[in-house]
Amino acid sequence: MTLATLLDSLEQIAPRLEYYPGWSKAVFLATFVLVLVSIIVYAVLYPSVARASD
Amino acid sequence: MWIVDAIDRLAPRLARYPGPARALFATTFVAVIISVGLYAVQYSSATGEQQEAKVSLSVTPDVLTATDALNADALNLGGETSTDPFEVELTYVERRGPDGVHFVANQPYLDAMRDGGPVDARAALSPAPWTAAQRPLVLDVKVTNNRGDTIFVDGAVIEVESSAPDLAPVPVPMTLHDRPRELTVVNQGWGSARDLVLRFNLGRGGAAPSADPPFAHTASLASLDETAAFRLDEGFADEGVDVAALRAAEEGSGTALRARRRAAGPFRLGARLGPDEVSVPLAGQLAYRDPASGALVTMRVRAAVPLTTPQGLGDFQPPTARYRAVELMPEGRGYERRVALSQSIEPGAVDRFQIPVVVARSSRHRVRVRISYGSGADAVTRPLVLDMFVPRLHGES
Repeated sequence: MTLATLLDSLEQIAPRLEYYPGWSKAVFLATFVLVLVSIIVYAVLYPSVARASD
Repeated sequence: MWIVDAIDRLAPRLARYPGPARALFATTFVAVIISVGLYAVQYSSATGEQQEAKVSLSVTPDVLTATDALNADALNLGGETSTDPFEVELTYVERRGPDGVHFVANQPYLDAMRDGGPVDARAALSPAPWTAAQRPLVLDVKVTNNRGDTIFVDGAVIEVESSAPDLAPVPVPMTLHDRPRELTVVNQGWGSARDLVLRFNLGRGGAAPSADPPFAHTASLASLDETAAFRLDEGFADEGVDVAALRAAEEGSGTALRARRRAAGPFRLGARLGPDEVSVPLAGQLAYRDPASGALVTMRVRAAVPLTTPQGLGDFQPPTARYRAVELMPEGRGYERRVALSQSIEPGAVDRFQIPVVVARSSRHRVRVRISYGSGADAVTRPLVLDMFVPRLHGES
């Protein structure tokens, strides 16, 4: 997946988000935050997990 | 597929992450699934709303008039710029206020009145409808369609939250040819004015009077509903006019010119006592109370007040009668059309009546008009040529 594809997808998705109901927008936002936190937790714990598995 | 490859690589390691981290990952995974589901389920309605929002509407007052279009001549709008502020056509303009956008009537006389003047009194024979201000407010609607498909606009609804009458008085000062020494005020507004006071100076010998205080004279009116007149006799008397003698001369045969000149005192009357020759310049201040708002309104006023009735008023007076139309022949020689009249004219007075003449086709007629009076006496005009135009589609085929 290229950066251009990602940006194109965001470009298509983002303008429509405005027209979703408020509670849906809250779910999307919560999911976005969870994804970010998960990526950070995954990255932070990755070295110790890698050492343990070796 | 890249996502399956990523899961394949991540999955073996996920089991080695601490419990809370795995719970977080699982929650995130569920949230992503829910979000994708929600996005898919509501995609259709959200897209519809987005499409609807692509049609935008703007409403402004219609501002293109014959007089304000820069290229009015090229557009053949037929407008003529009037120098009389009262005769300039009313338009509406958009103004933004704290409570929203207002479409406000824009007319030089109204603007001058709102700004406190000066407004010039109109000279006329009688109060007439304000045709220049009889203009509807035209809503200029612009619809922009940014959608990918054609839209058909099949209706509009003006949703009125409230309607309320504007009861602000709009006093229009006038001088009437047959009402000497009076300043008539016609109210073009829909509410009355109260406690009207006119403070004024009069100009002698044609000189412009001072438009600033102090004012030498005052006249007042208790209220103004449709029409009222300030009687200025006292002011003229203070200036040295013999008002009683002037009034007596006016009520006489209408030929007592010498008596009128004597009574005019310091004001000089012209040789022929035409409408312009008998008027005296006035400058002053008109103050009134608007009962609807309680506001005290003041505006500067200028006028040319007739000191006496002009001679030859018949030139200006409205016709006393209009008779049935007589029809001429499109072609013919030596024929007559008779009209029965019933007019009485006092000695020295002037009368005016009208006889419409019609014809079926555009044609030229050489005529003379003869009136008969008394026993066999008559008066006849010089030969006249009537070049009559009748549009073909409205004439005889």
